[in-house]
Amino acid sequence: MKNYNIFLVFTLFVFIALLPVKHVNAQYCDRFHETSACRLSNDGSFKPYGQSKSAMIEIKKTFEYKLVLYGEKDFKIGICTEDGFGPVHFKIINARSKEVLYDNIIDDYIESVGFTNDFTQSVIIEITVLAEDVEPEEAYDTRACVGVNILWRKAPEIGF
Amino acid sequence: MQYSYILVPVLVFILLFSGCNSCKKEKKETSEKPEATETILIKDTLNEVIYVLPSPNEILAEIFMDEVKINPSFVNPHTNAKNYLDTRSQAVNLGVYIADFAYLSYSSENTTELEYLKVIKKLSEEVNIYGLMENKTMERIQNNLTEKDSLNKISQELYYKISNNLENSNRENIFTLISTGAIVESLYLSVMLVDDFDDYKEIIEKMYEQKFVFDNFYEYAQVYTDDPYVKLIIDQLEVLKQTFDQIKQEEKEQKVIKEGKTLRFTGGTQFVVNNENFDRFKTNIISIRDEIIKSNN
Repeated sequence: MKNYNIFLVFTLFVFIALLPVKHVNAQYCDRFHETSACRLSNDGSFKPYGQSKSAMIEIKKTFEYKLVLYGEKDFKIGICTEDGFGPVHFKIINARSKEVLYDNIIDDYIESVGFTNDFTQSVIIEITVLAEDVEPEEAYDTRACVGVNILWRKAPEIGF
Repeated sequence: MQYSYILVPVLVFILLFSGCNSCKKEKKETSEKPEATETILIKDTLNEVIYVLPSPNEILAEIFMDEVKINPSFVNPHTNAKNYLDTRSQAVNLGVYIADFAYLSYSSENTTELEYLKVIKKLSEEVNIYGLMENKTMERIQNNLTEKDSLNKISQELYYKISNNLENSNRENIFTLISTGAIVESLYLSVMLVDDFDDYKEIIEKMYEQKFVFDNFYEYAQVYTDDPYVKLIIDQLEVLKQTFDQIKQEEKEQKVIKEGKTLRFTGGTQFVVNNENFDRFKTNIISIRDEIIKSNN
């Protein structure tokens, strides 16, 4: 009886110790924007923008990512997802006027865009993971990591 | 005894079942996976908005540009930390101290940064954020005390680590409180820099541009007003919102200019800077900041 109790306690201990394993395995989206899947070309003059972020989202649904782009800066914005879930459709929209400043549909769903931003503005990046080749069989097939990787530098002054 | 015989296989079954679920998902993953440090976050609703706020060091860097005269007497003394006894004042002042650390990291003297980090660690633990600074991190910070860029980076990392930690554990209400402290303190340290209005017009305009950050934050915070602490802080911030809203703005026509491969977003909002609106702005910021650093308010 005593031996059996030790066995039971041991089993319970192993169970509790291993329980978080599934939880940890599910934590894979954090810092997705820092992986090679989201790498942006950089000659060294650009710095990472703190408002870069990753999240797990549902494919084929649109979500909005709201941030402030400071003025007099050059930006590179890359939107990436996991292999097999592309392409990603994204638009950059002025949050106040709702004017679409850029839509990657005109560039055949290119994953990144570079631009100069003259005035500080709040923008919405509207993102849809189109996942054209994915036919979800299971619930987990409908979710994917998305990374928003942003680099910036001071816009160089023009002239002599 | 018989019950125990059933329990063991049930536990084993649950373990195997849960393990298989995560195996299946891994088939879809890319070969390079980022470090698993936080819990899962699913954004699954149409038009769901994810808000991202700049860290205090980014706000300060944007306002100060290259000209900055650090005055360590402006920061909230680290000795005040022991007076913050409830969750609300601990969380709000954690944000205040993160901004203070970011501010002090601009200084060429390295007298108190470490004390501020200890306070940040202590207050973060008070609001149940653990693992923010392990001994290894503290050592790294100690070794980098003379390198301003590293300290700035550390300050930014701290803020976003806290943000991820709280967001992934569905404690955005606490992050709202921390962000309140961080934004208010960043603005306070900025307005205190101005000793001569005429010399600082450009910097004041940068301060006013933080209205965009504040508005995003305010919108984000509205989601958590069920929390009595957040509700209270939102009421306090109403004055700051009005102050920002009262600043006169001029709209320049927004244009997207595409020339070859270059893209330029031009036009937008310009804030009108004058002595009168700055005085009001400064007075209100100082008053709100004094309120939030008071113990157990």
